[in-house]
Amino acid sequence: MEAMPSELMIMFLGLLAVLVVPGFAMIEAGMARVQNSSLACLKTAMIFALAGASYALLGMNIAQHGLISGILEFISLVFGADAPSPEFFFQMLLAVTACLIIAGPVAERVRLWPLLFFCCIFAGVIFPVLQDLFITQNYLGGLGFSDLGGVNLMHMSAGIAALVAVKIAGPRPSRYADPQNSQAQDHALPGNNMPLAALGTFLLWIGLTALHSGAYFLQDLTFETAQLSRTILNAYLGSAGGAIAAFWLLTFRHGKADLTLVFNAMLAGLVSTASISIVAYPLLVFIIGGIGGILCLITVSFLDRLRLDDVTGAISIHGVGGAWAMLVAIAFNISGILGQIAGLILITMLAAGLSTIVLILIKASIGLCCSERASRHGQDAEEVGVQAYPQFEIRRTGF
Amino acid sequence: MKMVVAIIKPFRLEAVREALHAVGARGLTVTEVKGFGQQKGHTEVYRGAEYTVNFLPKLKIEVAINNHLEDAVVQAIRNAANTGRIGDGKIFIYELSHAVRIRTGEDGSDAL
Repeated sequence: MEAMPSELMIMFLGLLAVLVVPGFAMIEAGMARVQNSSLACLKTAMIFALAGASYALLGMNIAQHGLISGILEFISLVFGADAPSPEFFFQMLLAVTACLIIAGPVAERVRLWPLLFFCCIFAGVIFPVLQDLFITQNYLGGLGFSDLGGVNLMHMSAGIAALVAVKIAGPRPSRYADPQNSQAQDHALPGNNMPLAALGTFLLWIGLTALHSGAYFLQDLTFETAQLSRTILNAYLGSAGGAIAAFWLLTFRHGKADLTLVFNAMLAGLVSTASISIVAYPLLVFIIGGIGGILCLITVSFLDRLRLDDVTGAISIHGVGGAWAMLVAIAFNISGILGQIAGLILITMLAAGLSTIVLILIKASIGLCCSERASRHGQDAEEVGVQAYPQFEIRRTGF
Repeated sequence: MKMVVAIIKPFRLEAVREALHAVGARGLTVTEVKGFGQQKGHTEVYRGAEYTVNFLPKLKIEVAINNHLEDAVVQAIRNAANTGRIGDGKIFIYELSHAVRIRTGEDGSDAL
């Protein structure tokens, strides 16, 4: 069998990676309550469109030529028609995926418009600036920083931006007990459709695996197509490790395995093994994925203790999984310890700082969250006009 | 005439219908309902946080019968709906003062 040229592989894996879009849509539609389920789908479609366009128009320039000349070139690109490089589509998908990661945790309270506005800025400016600093220029390269085509940068910066967004937006009404009232209790707000969340998880699995594997070609066009079988097998084993570790731990602690946490841990296992899936032995990948899954579970309960309401668990999956993946790369001599730790800190600070500025400006100008009444009534009725399941007329009125 | 109203577990409906048919009840109305009894629902865990399911899904069945069928119908529902576990439901019996068949205008027992 003759191997496909790298450019073709990038396009093929990029196209496959579009499955992250329905993946995120189904996860959020399943894990939101029924009155906010349609919005999750509309939101995903609009992020697909707007974040992609934003990256195509401005982000790509910034990622390749830096912030200033990127913005100046923006004008010439709109009027010119240079043939895009083969990686372009793939890079655009990284930006879109980052925005979809941010959309999940803030579900059920942040309004559509402010979210889309933030996603345009994240895909068009914040993420490309990070790409320029850490991938294109790689200022920390001398210290040994490296990242698989910017994949871990994407996971981590999106997770951090999501954390900032969750903090600034505040939790969903009635999710956490009123601290003034000692009688009050926290309320879990269970999602409305677990089979849909399961479908989304596996679509996301395929999409992310394609994204991670394609990043090897992005990093190095001479990457052998034959090595692809190893990265895909390792992706499978990493996520298997995450799911098994979580399943075991949850069953051991609660007697039952909590479904959506097992899904989260499975994806965390996949994310945490992205950068080592070419070098590590399968058993090691399995163990590292397992640790990634457990880190994800710990983060979920830690965030709840801090009253940070992450609806889908994406902060734990992508933020913590991405950071863990960067650290693991040190152990396998892919990256140097100094550069990697400096990168981890700088990416965290830059992503958090830039997102905070933009989100606070949005909150102060057009507002971020819907009213409490709209939240109870449902964003589907307020902002979409179409209910997810219109033929079920009896609605849960509690909470 | 009596109106027998019973709250039962949804999966026992078919058995209850057969039992009622066997003792001669001629009509049955079923409604999906939610409610709680002595256990006041139960708690479940979602993403590590507990939540209470206050209202459990049940079926409410209503049967209008002549007086002489009362004991047989109650016994039939008890036998068919009983699983021996908590949450099997309850039976309530009311006096039924009047009944009319809409199509023919028949009245009282003839309408049942």
